[in-house]
Amino acid sequence: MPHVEISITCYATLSTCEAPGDSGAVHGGSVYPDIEVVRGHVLARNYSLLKENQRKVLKVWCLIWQDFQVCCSGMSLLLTPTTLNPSPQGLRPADPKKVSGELFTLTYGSLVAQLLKDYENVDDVNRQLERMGYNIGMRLIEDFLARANPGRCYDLRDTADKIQQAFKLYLGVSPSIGSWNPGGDEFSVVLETNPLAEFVELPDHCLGLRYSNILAGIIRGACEMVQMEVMAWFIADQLKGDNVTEIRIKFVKRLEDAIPAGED
Amino acid sequence: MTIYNLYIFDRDGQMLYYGEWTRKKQSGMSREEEAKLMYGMIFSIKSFVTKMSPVDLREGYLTYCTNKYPALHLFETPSRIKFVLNTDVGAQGIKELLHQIYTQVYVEYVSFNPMCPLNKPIESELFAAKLDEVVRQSPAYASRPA
Repeated sequence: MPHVEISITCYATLSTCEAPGDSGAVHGGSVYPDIEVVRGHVLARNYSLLKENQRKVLKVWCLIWQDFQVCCSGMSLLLTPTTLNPSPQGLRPADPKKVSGELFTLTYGSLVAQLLKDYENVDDVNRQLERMGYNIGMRLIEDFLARANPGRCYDLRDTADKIQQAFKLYLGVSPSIGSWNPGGDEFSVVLETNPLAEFVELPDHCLGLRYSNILAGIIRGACEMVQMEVMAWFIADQLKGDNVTEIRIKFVKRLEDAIPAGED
Repeated sequence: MTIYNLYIFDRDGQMLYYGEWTRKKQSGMSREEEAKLMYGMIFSIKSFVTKMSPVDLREGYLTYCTNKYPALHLFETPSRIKFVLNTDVGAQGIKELLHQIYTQVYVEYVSFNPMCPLNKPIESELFAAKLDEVVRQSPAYASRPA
Protein backbone atom coordinates (compact mmCIF):
# COMPACT_ATOMS: atom_id res chain seq x y z
CA MET A 1 0.00 0.00 0.00
CA PRO A 2 1.51 3.32 -1.02
CA HIS A 3 1.03 5.29 2.15
CA VAL A 4 1.71 2.53 4.58
CA GLU A 5 4.54 4.10 6.60
CA ILE A 6 2.60 7.26 7.30
CA SER A 7 -0.63 5.43 7.83
CA ILE A 8 0.67 2.93 10.39
CA THR A 9 2.14 5.60 12.65
CA CYS A 10 -0.78 7.93 12.34
CA TYR A 11 -3.37 5.21 12.61
CA ALA A 12 -1.77 3.96 15.79
CA THR A 13 -2.16 7.42 17.25
CA LEU A 14 -5.61 8.07 15.87
CA SER A 15 -7.10 4.75 16.83
CA THR A 16 -6.31 5.29 20.46
CA CYS A 17 -8.21 8.54 20.25
CA GLU A 18 -11.37 6.68 19.41
CA ALA A 19 -11.58 4.91 22.72
CA PRO A 20 -11.64 7.49 25.52
CA GLY A 21 -14.34 9.73 24.17
CA ASP A 22 -15.14 11.01 27.62
CA SER A 23 -12.31 11.33 30.09
CA GLY A 24 -14.90 12.00 32.78
CA ALA A 25 -15.88 8.34 32.54
CA VAL A 26 -12.35 7.35 33.42
CA HIS A 27 -12.42 9.21 36.70
CA GLY A 28 -15.93 8.06 37.48
CA GLY A 29 -15.12 4.41 36.91
CA SER A 30 -13.98 2.12 39.63
CA VAL A 31 -10.96 0.92 37.70
CA TYR A 32 -8.13 3.46 37.55
CA PRO A 33 -5.99 2.62 34.56
CA ASP A 34 -2.40 3.60 34.16
CA ILE A 35 -2.35 7.38 34.30
CA GLU A 36 0.39 7.76 31.70
CA VAL A 37 -1.64 5.83 29.15
CA VAL A 38 -4.65 8.00 29.84
CA ARG A 39 -2.64 11.18 29.54
CA GLY A 40 -1.24 9.97 26.25
CA HIS A 41 -4.72 9.25 24.94
CA VAL A 42 -6.10 12.58 26.06
CA LEU A 43 -3.21 14.47 24.52
CA ALA A 44 -3.54 12.62 21.24
CA ARG A 45 -7.25 13.25 21.20
CA ASN A 46 -6.87 16.94 21.95
CA TYR A 47 -4.29 17.21 19.22
CA SER A 48 -6.63 15.75 16.69
CA LEU A 49 -9.51 17.92 17.77
CA LEU A 50 -7.69 21.23 17.41
CA LYS A 51 -9.13 23.01 14.42
CA GLU A 52 -5.85 23.45 12.59
CA ASN A 53 -5.04 19.80 12.90
CA GLN A 54 -8.41 18.56 11.76
CA ARG A 55 -7.48 18.89 8.12
CA LYS A 56 -4.36 16.83 8.69
CA VAL A 57 -6.38 14.18 10.50
CA LEU A 58 -8.90 14.13 7.69
CA LYS A 59 -6.15 13.85 5.09
CA VAL A 60 -4.62 10.88 6.83
CA TRP A 61 -8.00 9.14 7.08
CA CYS A 62 -8.52 9.79 3.38
CA LEU A 63 -5.11 8.42 2.49
CA ILE A 64 -5.76 5.30 4.52
CA TRP A 65 -9.15 4.91 2.90
CA GLN A 66 -7.69 5.35 -0.57
CA ASP A 67 -5.10 2.71 0.15
CA PHE A 68 -7.81 0.28 1.12
CA GLN A 69 -9.79 1.11 -1.99
CA VAL A 70 -6.81 0.41 -4.20
CA CYS A 71 -5.56 -2.78 -2.70
CA CYS A 72 -8.79 -4.29 -1.43
CA SER A 73 -11.07 -3.73 -4.38
CA GLY A 74 -11.06 -7.38 -5.32
CA MET A 75 -11.51 -8.74 -1.84
CA SER A 76 -14.73 -9.56 -0.14
CA LEU A 77 -13.49 -9.97 3.43
CA LEU A 78 -10.81 -8.24 5.41
CA LEU A 79 -9.77 -9.25 8.90
CA THR A 80 -8.03 -6.61 10.96
CA PRO A 81 -7.43 -6.03 14.63
CA THR A 82 -9.34 -2.99 15.76
CA THR A 83 -6.43 -1.29 17.48
CA LEU A 84 -2.74 -2.00 17.68
CA ASN A 85 -2.68 -2.14 21.47
CA PRO A 86 -5.39 -3.67 23.58
CA SER A 87 -7.45 -0.92 25.08
CA PRO A 88 -6.94 -0.42 28.81
CA GLN A 89 -9.78 -1.67 30.97
CA GLY A 90 -12.46 0.81 31.76
CA LEU A 91 -11.84 3.04 28.80
CA ARG A 92 -13.80 1.25 26.08
CA PRO A 93 -17.46 2.21 26.15
CA ALA A 94 -19.58 -0.68 27.36
CA ASP A 95 -21.96 -0.65 24.41
CA PRO A 96 -20.35 -2.33 21.42
CA LYS A 97 -22.98 -0.89 19.12
CA LYS A 98 -21.88 2.69 19.62
CA VAL A 99 -19.30 4.13 17.27
CA SER A 100 -17.50 7.42 17.56
CA GLY A 101 -19.43 10.32 16.09
CA GLU A 102 -16.38 11.37 14.14
CA LEU A 103 -16.08 7.96 12.54
CA PHE A 104 -19.66 8.28 11.40
CA THR A 105 -19.07 11.76 10.00
CA LEU A 106 -15.95 10.72 8.15
CA THR A 107 -17.60 7.59 6.77
CA TYR A 108 -20.46 9.67 5.43
CA GLY A 109 -17.94 12.05 3.91
CA SER A 110 -16.16 9.29 2.07
CA LEU A 111 -19.52 7.95 0.90
CA VAL A 112 -20.41 11.30 -0.65
CA ALA A 113 -16.96 11.62 -2.16
CA GLN A 114 -17.28 8.20 -3.76
CA LEU A 115 -20.73 9.04 -5.13
CA LEU A 116 -19.33 12.21 -6.67
CA LYS A 117 -16.62 10.20 -8.32
CA ASP A 118 -19.09 7.63 -9.61
CA TYR A 119 -21.74 9.97 -10.94
CA GLU A 120 -19.75 13.14 -11.70
CA ASN A 121 -23.02 15.02 -11.90
CA VAL A 122 -24.16 16.87 -8.81
CA ASP A 123 -27.89 16.42 -9.44
CA ASP A 124 -27.51 12.66 -9.79
CA VAL A 125 -25.64 12.55 -6.51
CA ASN A 126 -28.39 14.56 -4.80
CA ARG A 127 -31.00 12.19 -6.13
CA GLN A 128 -29.02 9.14 -5.12
CA LEU A 129 -28.48 10.46 -1.59
CA GLU A 130 -32.19 11.11 -1.26
CA ARG A 131 -33.01 7.63 -2.49
CA MET A 132 -30.55 6.05 -0.05
CA GLY A 133 -32.07 8.12 2.71
CA TYR A 134 -35.52 6.91 1.71
CA ASN A 135 -34.47 3.27 2.08
CA ILE A 136 -32.80 3.99 5.40
CA GLY A 137 -35.88 5.86 6.66
CA MET A 138 -38.16 2.93 5.88
CA ARG A 139 -36.17 0.74 8.24
CA LEU A 140 -35.14 3.33 10.76
CA ILE A 141 -38.76 4.12 11.57
CA GLU A 142 -39.20 0.62 13.01
CA ASP A 143 -36.30 1.15 15.36
CA PHE A 144 -37.62 4.56 16.36
CA LEU A 145 -41.07 3.12 17.07
CA ALA A 146 -39.54 0.32 19.08
CA ARG A 147 -37.21 2.51 21.11
CA ALA A 148 -39.04 5.74 21.64
CA ASN A 149 -42.52 4.18 21.63
CA PRO A 150 -44.04 7.45 20.55
CA GLY A 151 -47.69 6.58 19.95
CA ARG A 152 -49.76 7.91 17.09
CA CYS A 153 -49.58 11.44 15.77
CA TYR A 154 -52.87 13.26 15.55
CA ASP A 155 -51.67 16.23 13.59
CA LEU A 156 -48.58 17.61 11.93
CA ARG A 157 -47.35 19.28 15.09
CA ASP A 158 -47.10 15.88 16.78
CA THR A 159 -45.15 14.67 13.79
CA ALA A 160 -42.80 17.63 14.04
CA ASP A 161 -42.18 16.81 17.70
CA LYS A 162 -41.45 13.21 16.89
CA ILE A 163 -39.00 14.22 14.17
CA GLN A 164 -37.28 16.46 16.69
CA GLN A 165 -37.09 13.53 19.11
CA ALA A 166 -35.60 11.33 16.43
CA PHE A 167 -32.86 13.82 15.61
CA LYS A 168 -31.98 13.86 19.30
CA LEU A 169 -31.99 10.10 19.52
CA TYR A 170 -29.98 9.29 16.44
CA LEU A 171 -27.74 12.26 15.80
CA GLY A 172 -27.49 13.77 19.26
CA VAL A 173 -28.50 17.23 18.12
CA SER A 174 -31.56 19.23 19.15
CA PRO A 175 -33.06 21.01 16.20
CA SER A 176 -35.74 23.63 16.58
CA ILE A 177 -39.05 23.52 14.77
CA GLY A 178 -40.44 26.68 13.29
CA SER A 179 -41.59 28.71 10.32
CA TRP A 180 -45.02 27.15 10.15
CA ASN A 181 -46.97 28.32 7.15
CA PRO A 182 -50.49 29.73 7.62
CA GLY A 183 -52.13 26.50 6.46
CA GLY A 184 -50.22 24.51 9.09
CA ASP A 185 -48.96 21.94 6.61
CA GLU A 186 -45.37 23.07 6.20
CA PHE A 187 -42.66 23.57 8.76
CA SER A 188 -38.90 23.83 9.08
CA VAL A 189 -36.41 21.82 11.06
CA VAL A 190 -33.51 24.10 11.92
CA LEU A 191 -30.13 22.69 12.90
CA GLU A 192 -27.51 24.88 14.50
CA THR A 193 -24.84 22.26 13.92
CA ASN A 194 -24.98 19.54 11.36
CA PRO A 195 -23.12 16.48 12.63
CA LEU A 196 -22.83 15.02 9.16
CA ALA A 197 -20.92 17.99 7.83
CA GLU A 198 -18.50 18.61 10.65
CA PHE A 199 -15.19 18.65 8.83
CA VAL A 200 -16.48 19.42 5.38
CA GLU A 201 -15.75 22.19 2.93
CA LEU A 202 -17.47 22.21 -0.41
CA PRO A 203 -15.17 22.77 -3.36
CA ASP A 204 -16.24 25.30 -6.00
CA HIS A 205 -17.38 22.82 -8.60
CA CYS A 206 -19.78 21.19 -6.13
CA LEU A 207 -21.81 24.14 -5.01
CA GLY A 208 -25.02 22.54 -6.26
CA LEU A 209 -24.47 19.53 -4.04
CA ARG A 210 -26.91 19.02 -1.20
CA TYR A 211 -24.44 17.34 1.07
CA SER A 212 -26.84 16.16 3.74
CA ASN A 213 -29.60 15.20 1.35
CA ILE A 214 -29.70 11.76 2.93
CA LEU A 215 -31.53 13.37 5.85
CA ALA A 216 -34.32 14.62 3.60
CA GLY A 217 -34.72 11.11 2.22
CA ILE A 218 -34.77 9.57 5.68
CA ILE A 219 -37.60 11.87 6.76
CA ARG A 220 -39.59 11.07 3.63
CA GLY A 221 -39.09 7.30 3.95
CA ALA A 222 -39.91 7.20 7.62
CA CYS A 223 -43.09 9.25 7.25
CA GLU A 224 -44.27 7.12 4.37
CA MET A 225 -44.13 4.02 6.54
CA VAL A 226 -46.49 5.68 9.00
CA GLN A 227 -49.03 6.55 6.34
CA MET A 228 -47.96 10.12 5.64
CA GLU A 229 -46.66 11.36 2.36
CA VAL A 230 -44.36 14.33 2.88
CA MET A 231 -41.87 16.26 0.84
CA ALA A 232 -38.59 17.22 2.47
CA TRP A 233 -35.86 19.44 1.08
CA PHE A 234 -33.04 21.69 2.21
CA ILE A 235 -33.55 25.42 2.05
CA ALA A 236 -30.40 26.50 3.89
CA ASP A 237 -27.07 24.82 4.39
CA GLN A 238 -24.17 25.91 6.57
CA LEU A 239 -21.77 24.45 4.03
CA LYS A 240 -22.91 27.04 1.52
CA GLY A 241 -22.45 29.93 3.88
CA ASP A 242 -25.83 30.17 5.55
CA ASN A 243 -26.09 30.59 9.31
CA VAL A 244 -28.02 27.43 9.96
CA THR A 245 -28.97 24.25 8.19
CA GLU A 246 -32.69 24.18 7.51
CA ILE A 247 -34.89 21.39 6.15
CA ARG A 248 -38.38 22.27 4.99
CA ILE A 249 -41.04 19.60 5.36
CA LYS A 250 -44.40 19.76 3.64
CA PHE A 251 -47.29 17.43 4.28
CA VAL A 252 -48.77 16.17 1.03
CA LYS A 253 -51.43 13.66 1.94
CA ARG A 254 -52.36 10.86 4.25
CA LEU A 255 -51.86 7.41 2.73
CA GLU A 256 -54.72 5.00 3.24
CA ASP A 257 -54.40 1.39 4.30
CA ALA A 258 -54.58 -1.10 1.50
CA ILE A 259 -57.85 -2.99 1.73
CA PRO A 260 -57.43 -6.73 1.23
CA ALA A 261 -58.96 -8.14 -1.93
CA GLY A 262 -62.57 -9.10 -1.54
CA GLU A 263 -63.22 -7.00 1.52
CA ASP A 264 -64.98 -4.08 -0.07
CA MET B 1 -50.84 -21.20 29.63
CA THR B 2 -49.56 -21.89 26.17
CA ILE B 3 -48.71 -20.12 23.04
CA TYR B 4 -50.09 -21.76 19.96
CA ASN B 5 -48.84 -19.84 17.00
CA LEU B 6 -47.77 -16.46 15.63
CA TYR B 7 -48.47 -14.70 12.35
CA ILE B 8 -46.68 -11.57 11.21
CA PHE B 9 -48.38 -9.52 8.49
CA ASP B 10 -46.98 -6.52 6.68
CA ARG B 11 -48.89 -3.36 5.84
CA ASP B 12 -50.45 -4.84 2.67
CA GLY B 13 -51.69 -8.00 4.34
CA GLN B 14 -49.02 -10.26 3.06
CA MET B 15 -47.90 -12.88 5.55
CA LEU B 16 -44.28 -12.33 6.44
CA TYR B 17 -43.83 -15.12 8.93
CA TYR B 18 -45.69 -17.99 10.54
CA GLY B 19 -44.37 -19.65 13.68
CA GLU B 20 -45.96 -22.52 15.51
CA TRP B 21 -45.35 -23.96 18.95
CA THR B 22 -48.36 -26.10 19.74
CA ARG B 23 -50.95 -26.90 17.20
CA LYS B 24 -53.49 -29.60 17.87
CA LYS B 25 -55.61 -29.41 14.75
CA GLN B 26 -54.75 -28.49 11.20
CA SER B 27 -57.27 -26.40 9.31
CA GLY B 28 -57.21 -28.44 6.15
CA MET B 29 -56.25 -25.57 3.89
CA SER B 30 -52.94 -24.28 2.65
CA ARG B 31 -50.91 -21.86 4.70
CA GLU B 32 -51.49 -18.99 2.28
CA GLU B 33 -55.25 -19.39 2.39
CA GLU B 34 -55.21 -19.63 6.13
CA ALA B 35 -53.14 -16.46 6.31
CA LYS B 36 -55.56 -14.61 4.05
CA LEU B 37 -58.48 -15.72 6.20
CA MET B 38 -56.67 -14.62 9.33
CA TYR B 39 -55.81 -11.24 7.86
CA GLY B 40 -59.33 -10.71 6.60
CA MET B 41 -60.72 -11.45 10.03
CA ILE B 42 -58.35 -9.07 11.75
CA PHE B 43 -59.03 -6.33 9.27
CA SER B 44 -62.78 -6.73 9.80
CA ILE B 45 -62.50 -6.77 13.58
CA LYS B 46 -60.30 -3.73 13.54
CA SER B 47 -62.61 -1.68 11.33
CA PHE B 48 -65.56 -2.81 13.43
CA VAL B 49 -63.83 -1.79 16.65
CA THR B 50 -62.71 1.56 15.25
CA LYS B 51 -66.23 2.39 14.20
CA MET B 52 -67.90 1.28 17.40
CA SER B 53 -65.40 2.14 20.07
CA PRO B 54 -65.71 5.37 22.05
CA VAL B 55 -61.94 5.53 22.52
CA ASP B 56 -59.33 5.39 19.81
CA LEU B 57 -57.27 2.31 19.24
CA ARG B 58 -54.30 4.05 20.74
CA GLU B 59 -52.01 1.32 21.79
CA GLY B 60 -52.45 -0.73 18.66
CA TYR B 61 -53.28 -3.74 20.81
CA LEU B 62 -56.40 -5.86 20.61
CA THR B 63 -57.47 -9.12 22.23
CA TYR B 64 -60.24 -11.30 20.95
CA CYS B 65 -61.27 -14.25 23.08
CA THR B 66 -64.12 -16.38 24.21
CA ASN B 67 -64.25 -18.58 27.30
CA LYS B 68 -63.61 -21.75 25.41
CA TYR B 69 -61.67 -20.83 22.32
CA PRO B 70 -58.04 -19.79 22.37
CA ALA B 71 -57.45 -16.08 22.56
CA LEU B 72 -56.20 -14.03 19.67
CA HIS B 73 -53.90 -11.12 20.48
CA LEU B 74 -53.16 -8.51 17.88
CA PHE B 75 -50.42 -5.94 18.14
CA GLU B 76 -50.19 -3.37 15.38
CA THR B 77 -47.33 -0.92 15.10
CA PRO B 78 -47.86 2.59 13.71
CA SER B 79 -46.03 1.36 10.65
CA ARG B 80 -48.88 -1.14 10.13
CA ILE B 81 -46.94 -4.32 10.83
CA LYS B 82 -49.32 -6.73 12.57
CA PHE B 83 -48.32 -9.44 15.01
CA VAL B 84 -51.04 -11.99 15.73
CA LEU B 85 -50.47 -14.39 18.56
CA ASN B 86 -52.88 -17.19 19.40
CA THR B 87 -52.70 -18.43 22.95
CA ASP B 88 -54.96 -20.28 25.30
CA VAL B 89 -57.38 -18.36 27.45
CA GLY B 90 -55.29 -18.03 30.58
CA ALA B 91 -52.27 -16.35 29.07
CA GLN B 92 -51.02 -13.23 30.82
CA GLY B 93 -48.55 -10.58 29.80
CA ILE B 94 -49.06 -11.07 26.10
CA LYS B 95 -48.97 -7.37 25.37
CA GLU B 96 -45.45 -7.14 26.77
CA LEU B 97 -44.46 -10.29 24.95
CA LEU B 98 -45.67 -8.94 21.62
CA HIS B 99 -43.89 -5.67 22.23
CA GLN B 100 -40.77 -7.59 23.10
CA ILE B 101 -41.03 -9.64 19.93
CA TYR B 102 -41.31 -6.44 17.97
CA THR B 103 -38.40 -4.59 19.57
CA GLN B 104 -35.98 -7.39 20.26
CA VAL B 105 -36.59 -9.68 17.34
CA TYR B 106 -38.30 -7.96 14.42
CA VAL B 107 -36.47 -4.64 14.56
CA GLU B 108 -33.09 -6.21 15.26
CA TYR B 109 -33.15 -9.04 12.79
CA VAL B 110 -35.39 -7.80 10.02
CA SER B 111 -35.36 -4.01 9.92
CA PHE B 112 -31.66 -3.82 10.43
CA ASN B 113 -30.82 -6.66 8.11
CA PRO B 114 -29.98 -5.31 4.67
CA MET B 115 -30.38 -8.78 3.17
CA CYS B 116 -34.01 -8.92 4.30
CA PRO B 117 -36.31 -7.13 1.85
CA LEU B 118 -39.14 -5.43 3.66
CA ASN B 119 -42.17 -6.76 1.84
CA LYS B 120 -41.12 -10.34 1.29
CA PRO B 121 -41.59 -13.30 3.63
CA ILE B 122 -38.89 -13.49 6.27
CA GLU B 123 -36.43 -16.24 5.53
CA SER B 124 -33.76 -15.44 8.02
CA GLU B 125 -32.92 -18.38 10.26
CA LEU B 126 -31.48 -16.07 12.85
CA PHE B 127 -34.83 -14.36 13.12
CA ALA B 128 -36.59 -17.70 13.57
CA ALA B 129 -34.12 -18.83 16.21
CA LYS B 130 -34.30 -15.61 18.18
CA LEU B 131 -38.09 -15.52 18.00
CA ASP B 132 -38.26 -19.06 19.30
CA GLU B 133 -35.97 -18.16 22.16
CA VAL B 134 -37.97 -15.10 23.16
CA VAL B 135 -41.27 -16.95 23.09
CA ARG B 136 -40.01 -19.93 25.03
CA GLN B 137 -38.51 -17.73 27.70
CA SER B 138 -41.67 -15.76 28.24
CA PRO B 139 -43.76 -16.55 31.34
CA ALA B 140 -46.82 -17.20 29.16
CA TYR B 141 -45.25 -20.23 27.57
CA ALA B 142 -45.46 -23.68 29.13
CA SER B 143 -44.56 -26.95 27.55
CA ARG B 144 -47.84 -28.63 28.30
CA PRO B 145 -51.19 -27.11 27.47
CA ALA B 146 -53.24 -25.92 30.41
